[in-house]
Amino acid sequence: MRSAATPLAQPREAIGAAPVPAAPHLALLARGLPVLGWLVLAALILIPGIGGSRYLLYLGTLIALQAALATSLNLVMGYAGQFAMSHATFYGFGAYASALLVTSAGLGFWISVPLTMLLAAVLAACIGYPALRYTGGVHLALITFAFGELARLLAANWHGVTGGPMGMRVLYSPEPLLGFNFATSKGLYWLATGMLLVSLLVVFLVQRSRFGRALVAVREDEVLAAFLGINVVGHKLAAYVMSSMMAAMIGTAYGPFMSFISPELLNAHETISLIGVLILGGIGTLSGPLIGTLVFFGIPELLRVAQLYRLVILGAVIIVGVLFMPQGIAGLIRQRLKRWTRDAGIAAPDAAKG
Amino acid sequence: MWIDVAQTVFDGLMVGGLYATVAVGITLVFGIMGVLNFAHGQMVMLGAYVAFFAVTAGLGFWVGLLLAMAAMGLFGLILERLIFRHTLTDHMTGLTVSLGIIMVVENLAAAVFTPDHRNFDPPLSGSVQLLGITLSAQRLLVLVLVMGLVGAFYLFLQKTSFGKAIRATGQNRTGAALVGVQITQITALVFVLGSAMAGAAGALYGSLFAITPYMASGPLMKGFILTVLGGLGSVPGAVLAGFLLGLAESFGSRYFSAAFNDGYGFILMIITLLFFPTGLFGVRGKARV
Amino acid sequence: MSNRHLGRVARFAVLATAGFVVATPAGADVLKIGMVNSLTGPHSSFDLPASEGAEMAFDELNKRGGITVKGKKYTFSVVSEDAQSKPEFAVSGAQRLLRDDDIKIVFGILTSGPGVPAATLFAKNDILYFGGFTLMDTLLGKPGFDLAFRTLDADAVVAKSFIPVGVKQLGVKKVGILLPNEDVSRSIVAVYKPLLEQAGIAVPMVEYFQPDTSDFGPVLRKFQNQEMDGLLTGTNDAVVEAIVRQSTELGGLPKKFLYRGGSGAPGIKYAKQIDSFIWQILTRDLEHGDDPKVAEWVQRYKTFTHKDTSPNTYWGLTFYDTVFMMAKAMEEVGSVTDLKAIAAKIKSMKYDGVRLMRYDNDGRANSDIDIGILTDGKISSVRASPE
Repeated sequence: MRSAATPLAQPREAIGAAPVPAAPHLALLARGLPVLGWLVLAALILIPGIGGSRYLLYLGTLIALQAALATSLNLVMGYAGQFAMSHATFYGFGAYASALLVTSAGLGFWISVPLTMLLAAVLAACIGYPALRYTGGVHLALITFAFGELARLLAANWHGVTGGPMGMRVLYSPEPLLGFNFATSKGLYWLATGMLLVSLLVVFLVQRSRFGRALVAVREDEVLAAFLGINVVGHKLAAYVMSSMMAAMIGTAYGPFMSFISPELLNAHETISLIGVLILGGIGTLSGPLIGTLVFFGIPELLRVAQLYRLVILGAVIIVGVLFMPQGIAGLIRQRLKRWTRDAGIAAPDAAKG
Repeated sequence: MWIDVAQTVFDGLMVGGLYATVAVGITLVFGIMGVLNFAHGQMVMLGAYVAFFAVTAGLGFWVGLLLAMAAMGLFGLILERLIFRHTLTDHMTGLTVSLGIIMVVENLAAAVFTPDHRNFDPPLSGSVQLLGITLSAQRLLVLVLVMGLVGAFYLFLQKTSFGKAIRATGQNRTGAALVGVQITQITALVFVLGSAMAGAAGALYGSLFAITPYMASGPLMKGFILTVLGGLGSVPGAVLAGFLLGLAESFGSRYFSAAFNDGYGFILMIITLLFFPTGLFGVRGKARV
Repeated sequence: MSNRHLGRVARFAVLATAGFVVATPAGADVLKIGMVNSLTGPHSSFDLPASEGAEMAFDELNKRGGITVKGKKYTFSVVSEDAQSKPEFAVSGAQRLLRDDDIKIVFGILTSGPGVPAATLFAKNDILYFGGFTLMDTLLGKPGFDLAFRTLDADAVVAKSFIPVGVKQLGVKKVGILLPNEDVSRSIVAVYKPLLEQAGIAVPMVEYFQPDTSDFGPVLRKFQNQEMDGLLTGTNDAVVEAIVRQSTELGGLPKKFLYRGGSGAPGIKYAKQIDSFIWQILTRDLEHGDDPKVAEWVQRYKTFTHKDTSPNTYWGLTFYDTVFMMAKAMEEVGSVTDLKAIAAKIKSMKYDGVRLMRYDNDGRANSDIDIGILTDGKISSVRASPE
């Protein structure tokens, strides 16, 4: 999907235009804002951890998981430009698979995580490869959507394995690791936050790597990228597999957190919600998914807006956002920042915040 | 035993015909406009509700059916004018926008209509005896109606000048424009027709099964499956695939497992995507990189 | 915060405190009771009347002046959450109730899907919880669930009267079982099939369909032309209505129905096309019985909710009597916070309210029920008491 705010582009100086008088305080603000953003994120993460009201912890864990999901989806949709409608499906797959590994195979939680991720990778490769051979996003969108529905159907009807439409009860908790107790609500909160940080780290590293630059090239123009010698199918597949693996990893935390897993978790509507959050926050930026998740989950939850209306608003946001504001909130902020620093005659900070 | 088989065949044809009525809209819009309209299922749902309110208001089923088609055609026109016209060049934007439309329409419908199941009394009730086989009267009527609708659609595409213009646009948009086809008119017409068909399908669904705001995903998924099976953009392909799928599901549920009814379609779709990229009878396919 | 903002907050705080003071009768404390129910969605046909009945009970208690425990007066206020017929919303609704540390008692949920996770959450947090859903029977008696109650009879108890009455009234000889593919269904089959066979009825087929099926044609055809005269089915009105309607349309199918769960509405709607229909009323038959206590209750219900009765209103009695039992237990124990003592007291009581209620040591209800019968176009009901 095209983004108006390409993360790795350098700002272009207006050719021949007279330089606007410098506004040094705005430029300073622009330079400092990414740092400020990281501090705000750290503060937000610490609040539930230290404050610890039961509900705040619950909300915090939920938001952390959703933000991690949005960040990992960003990898394949934002940077690689591919329509992976199966993201929520891998989330649910992670939940069910690790629950089954723990309860039926008797493995520990921490071992089930990498195993689940491996299984997810194999599954994603099998589905992704046939779909990604074609240009354009339609085939991938169709196949991943169909896979999502099929998986949900299996989860809802394979009574013996998944407990059927009423879901699977999860009674285990992660074992203590490195002296930390993860079985309490606080422990699960740190687990979710840890997964969020891991997702952010992965996207951050990809962004700066050659792999990331190749992904952007593929997103912008597949044929041209092929001419440049980039293995288009390989890169697309890698992005899809990576983000699906991350979704599965995040899913393993869901079971212990909610104490049960429902097949509705794999619903395509969940992926559509994630896409909406990405568009709202800003596709292709590091902070976009975070902002989008906070806005979409945090605010209505605190205001107790009814679920139905939240979704209507999200749908409207998707429509308007895609047509008129494809960069999202983060993208808009970044454009504003770039303008301030450009006006002050200082080169923009090299995409420190995203 | 033969009675069982015959009844299963009739049911399969009816269900497949319903699916095909939904699918022709999806595949035509995709072929002409390049947009995979995920919100197509919502038209089916809204069509069912229009028919429901028409019948409960005392207007009767036939008026309800016509109203459903007209209302959905109008809705499609509005969507096309306001939104999809602007996405003719960027297809993935069109897809994304259709996702947003799903969320808005479905949840508004749930808020306004409430999630309760609705039913209306169909024009025919009970069963009839045909050649010694007992068939549901309403299901038979629906079968006749979908055959009629799909047949009329096909004839429209083949015989009328509008239909020829549509097919020309699908084959080569620039060429069609060069010979004087008004592309914007054609895209609007295609969307209106597809939506009207979906509305009709909705009214027919409503005459047989329960109506809820969330009923769109079933027909939508079947529509996608048929679009893939028949080849993206091929209307005859979608229709043929529809009857095939209907029969497969009917026989599968009757003689194997009823608990996995929807699975048969998915398996067919995955096999097709893996081994038959242009669809089972496909005429068009997408280029490989 | 700016000064203006601060002023606004202060004003709000003053008003809120004033409002609180005004609303509470002089000297009375307010006990917060939590409720989580499916107020919307397919399960609302059970949960909504049940929640209304519970709220009515608390309202009546308050009108009486509340309860007096150790000389102090207490009234009740109810905080209600919507589970939307989905497990995940039941859990988030439960979490929202739990965020208020004052809420220690919760009523609600009559369906197993949303109920199981919510009940597990309440047990983990030492909440005194009254539910109504089937699978609660599998949770009661397990460690950690000593503060949990199910206010409706278990299938094992209900079936013992339902099957004999059904067999006698319907006169069936061969019955098929058709249920959605869920956990609850398997426990239903495990209870009802042996009882049917013990009564001399043949059960040649048990079929499970995909839970969100709308087209029952394929699965119903498996029952066709097999000389079955009865169909045992469930588990909610929407599904059974579709099954009854489509079986009359397809022909060659049984015309006598035994409905586990729900109301008589599906049968009554298609009364002309079927032979007979029998259903369970797990509380009291509100329309065709002649019990004066029931008639009075119906009047109070209509006044309280400004609604007329529907075939599902009988679920309003799910929690009604138990609310009074809880209030009485609080007074006799002399505490509103010692949940263990209150629970133990309830389990030792026999309460003759609109229903005759008693609980065993695990928190299972043992009360009498009514069975609704539709034959030859006439509707009636019989009362069945537990042994």
